[in-house]
Amino acid sequence: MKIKLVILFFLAVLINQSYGQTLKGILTETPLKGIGDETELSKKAAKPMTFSYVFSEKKSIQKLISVEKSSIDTTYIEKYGKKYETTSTVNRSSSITYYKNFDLKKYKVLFTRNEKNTNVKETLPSFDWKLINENKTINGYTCKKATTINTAFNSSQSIVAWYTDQIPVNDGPMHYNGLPGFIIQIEINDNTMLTFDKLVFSKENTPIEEPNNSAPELSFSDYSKQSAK
Amino acid sequence: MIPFYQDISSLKKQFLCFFLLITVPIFSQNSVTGSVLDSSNKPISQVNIQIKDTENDKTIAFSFSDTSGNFRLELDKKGLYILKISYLGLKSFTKEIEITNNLLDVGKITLEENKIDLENVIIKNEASGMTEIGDTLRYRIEKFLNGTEETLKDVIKKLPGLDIDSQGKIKANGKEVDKLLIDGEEFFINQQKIATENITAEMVKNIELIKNYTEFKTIKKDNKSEITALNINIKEQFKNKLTGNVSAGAGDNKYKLHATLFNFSKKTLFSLISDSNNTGELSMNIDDYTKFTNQKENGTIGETTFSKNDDLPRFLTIGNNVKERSSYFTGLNLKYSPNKKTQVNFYSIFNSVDQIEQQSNTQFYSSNSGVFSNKDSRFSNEETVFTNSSIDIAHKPNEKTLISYKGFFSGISKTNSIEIDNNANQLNNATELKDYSFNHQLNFATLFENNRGFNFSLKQQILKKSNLLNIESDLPFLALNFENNAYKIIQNSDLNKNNIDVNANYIFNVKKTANALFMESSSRKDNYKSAEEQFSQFENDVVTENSVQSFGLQTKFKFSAKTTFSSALSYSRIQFKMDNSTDTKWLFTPKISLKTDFSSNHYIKFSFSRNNGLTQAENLIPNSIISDYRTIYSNVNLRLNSVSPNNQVGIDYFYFNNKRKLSIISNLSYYKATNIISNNSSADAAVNLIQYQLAPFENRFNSMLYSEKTLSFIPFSIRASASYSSSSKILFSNNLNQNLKTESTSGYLSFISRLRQTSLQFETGVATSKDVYKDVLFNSRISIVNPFVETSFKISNTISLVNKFSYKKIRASTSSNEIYQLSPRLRVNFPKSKVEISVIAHDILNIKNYEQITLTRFDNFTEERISQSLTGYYLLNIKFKL
Repeated sequence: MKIKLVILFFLAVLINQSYGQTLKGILTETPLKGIGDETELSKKAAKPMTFSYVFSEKKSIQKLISVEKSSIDTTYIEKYGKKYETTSTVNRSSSITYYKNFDLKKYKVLFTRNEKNTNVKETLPSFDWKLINENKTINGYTCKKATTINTAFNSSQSIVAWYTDQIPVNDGPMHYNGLPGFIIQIEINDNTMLTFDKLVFSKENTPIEEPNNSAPELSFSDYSKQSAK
Repeated sequence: MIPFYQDISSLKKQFLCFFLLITVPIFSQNSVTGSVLDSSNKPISQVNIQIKDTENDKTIAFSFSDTSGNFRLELDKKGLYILKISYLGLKSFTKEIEITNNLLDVGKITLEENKIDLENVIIKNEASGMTEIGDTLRYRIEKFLNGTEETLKDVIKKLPGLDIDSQGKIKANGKEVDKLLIDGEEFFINQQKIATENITAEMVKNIELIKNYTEFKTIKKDNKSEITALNINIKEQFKNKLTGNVSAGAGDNKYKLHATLFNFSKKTLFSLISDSNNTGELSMNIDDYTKFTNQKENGTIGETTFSKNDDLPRFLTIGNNVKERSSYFTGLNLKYSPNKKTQVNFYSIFNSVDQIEQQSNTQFYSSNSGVFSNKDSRFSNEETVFTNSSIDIAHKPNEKTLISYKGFFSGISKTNSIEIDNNANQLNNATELKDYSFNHQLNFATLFENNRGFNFSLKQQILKKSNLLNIESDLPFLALNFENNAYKIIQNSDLNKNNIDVNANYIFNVKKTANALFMESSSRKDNYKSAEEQFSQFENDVVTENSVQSFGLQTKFKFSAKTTFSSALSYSRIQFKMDNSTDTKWLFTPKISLKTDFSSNHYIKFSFSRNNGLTQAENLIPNSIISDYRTIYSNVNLRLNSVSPNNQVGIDYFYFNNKRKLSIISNLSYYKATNIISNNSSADAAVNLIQYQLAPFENRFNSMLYSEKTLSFIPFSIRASASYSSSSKILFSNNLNQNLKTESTSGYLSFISRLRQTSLQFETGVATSKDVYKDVLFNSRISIVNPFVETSFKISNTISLVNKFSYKKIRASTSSNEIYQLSPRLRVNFPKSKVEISVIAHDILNIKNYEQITLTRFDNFTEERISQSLTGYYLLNIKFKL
């Protein structure tokens, strides 16, 4: 099966030779509010993250480009004349990469958090999108609305996607995909928003290689077991 | 084959099921099927298939093609629909379909290549290729290049707002860039020309222009530094390893060998550049030379000194007006940052140039009896060896303390031999010059609380210069009475200097003002000696000892958010000592400036400064000294305590708008000096006697206007500059004073194509200049008109052609000439190979030596020089990349 997949892969590459095109973009992830709390987010956690994005030859890769660090802030609360130390920790990954291969239905997430590498490999999640008759212009593109429930990776999030069929690429941020057009914006549970700020096309193909880091490849269930330990 | 096909088809089914799961509503009954192929009949996967409502364009069902290009869509209702099939890079297919049966097969659909450029249709968010974040303007260089660029210089010249002038200096919006950085590190110190001509274009990832760059040596960070830096980011694949190239070129009697070696890593930056050629090309120019030999930190006494240009190596001043020239150059640069607290910067340069000049000169003198001229023809041979080494160590034990040491050695050895043939004599005028200088200084700076700080520095400068003049002739010259018919002059002169400076600074803030109180003490000892074998009137021995104590106050005050006033007021006490007589003078040197920043890229600045010109030991000779076969210098009334104060007022205006793509820079300055060091000259057929003398005044006026605008409706940039300068100076001729007026005007206008990513790019324009010298007796002028076209054309992926064509019309008072220059360069770059071949044709319309006219005004004569120029050449050049 593996060999055949490889052959298939080469076939797919061959097919694509003649009309190469690359879509490149920059997207930002903006936390709207903290998860589970009603309070205002601490300023550090609310800091947007910036990613680069490349789609070419039915593969796409999204990488964190802003510099992120985990931080621990110590504040003191005064109660009955005594000072109590409290800390608030913001854990952020210093590197995140999302990789999709559409022909092989492959999805990978790599990240480094607190200097520990993680490498998760799964089949590309699919979504049961519901198309909504609502339009919105985002960064100059006419976008249509679609909603779904994200059940991938043991989650249950309501998702609103804004896609444009001006760009015939059925991809989007993170693991989201499968709409009849490019997803310009994704809203996750009203608390996070990912938006493409800039998109550039080029006529050449850009080779995208499957990313890897020092960590062993794990399936999501193995990863969950490991992190639960 | 069969099992394989079956496997594929089973896989196909899996995928099909997968898609059905996504898109198929539970009660669907009607299906649309088909397959998508490209123009070469190959199936395409992942193609967008949509069924839309004919009326409101609403998507009713959608799917994607599988790896065999097949698709299947399910619909609830029969009826009229629109089928839309689209794929990135291919033309969308739209068709009206009617579903009447349970299954509609639309068959094979072929998507054609997209003829319309998607780039222009969809992308409105396409950036201009420049992003401005705070003080940093980042160029995405690939937006401006067409692949014909060979070096960093070619890249910089194509970026809007940036340029490289004929001296190799990088200019940003018309202003000189102060620092060149490689990956954020200061490197190639004082070697902008060397760096831009040796870093290859393919090494460059992107380029950033940084305003208010903070140097490693800065410990006070709240002030804007006003230093502009150009940062060159290097591509990852050229880092952490040895890269570079070796090239060899050969042509008819011409050769050029060149090697570069780089290693850019985190802790160490290293470069070694070597060049050897006989094409006349130079690796350094006069600006580089003055920077190498004159690395002075800003002085506080506001002193200007004069020295004669005669001692400069001629290859720096004469340009291409030489018959033959060969040069050898090696430069080593090393930067080492062992940790975040320490930086060591070292460079060493060795340059040797041999050149042959052939000229015929006409010097026009004014005398009591009217204008007369002296004609001579010269054949000169000069060999120069120049070496310069510098080390700069900076250490910051913490964020508030800096200790640094800087030392440099510079040496020049030059032998020059000129065969002169004039109306009366045949002579040989030979000089041997040796000039060594060693400078070093130690600095210590520290910051206390509340922005208070303290700086201390100790400097020493040692200079030794010796010059041997040897003239031989067949007949008497210089109107001297030679004994035994030996018409021979052997004159030796030596200069020794030793300066020691101590400087202390105290920095403090009072409310809104930032202040610095400084004190400086220096002791300078100069000794100038000369002797001639036969004639005692050329014997001199001058010893001067000056000691200077200065103190002063620098203040910076913010009037409002936009306007800043700065001043530096300094008082100096100079004690002069010469021949056991002493004298003391007090000098006041104020500097004032007022700057209004309308925005970070828009300011106007008014400035005033007063400086003092002091005499040098060389000017104070009690007797005479011979300069060449017809020139003798002496001193009339210059004394050690002669001070020539000068005042300068200036206005600078700077405007740059990235969005409007417009920049305007204008400078005006007026300089007035009184009691200047001038001279009295008297010339006759045999001798030109120049005597140092004080004159009442000298005025200079300079103005410059530069503008660059990129037009948005057509892809062109217009670059224009105009400058005008005039000066007037009192000179004495035969003890009568006369006013020498000079005026120069120059203009430059060019169009630069900003065709994005096209194979052809060009710059065309015209440069003009006109110089006029006027005094009571003369009126001489020279004008140059120089239209030019530079094109770069990428013929294919591997071949690029760069061409320069220019026409020069030079008109002087008595002669004129026209020069056509054509320099094409064809480069073949084999992909994935380490070899590159180019055919370099330089100035091929002038393969034989041609004549170039120049006009130079000296103190009491104007010289019109017709010199043989460098010839054009062809080279076949092969480059191996490491």
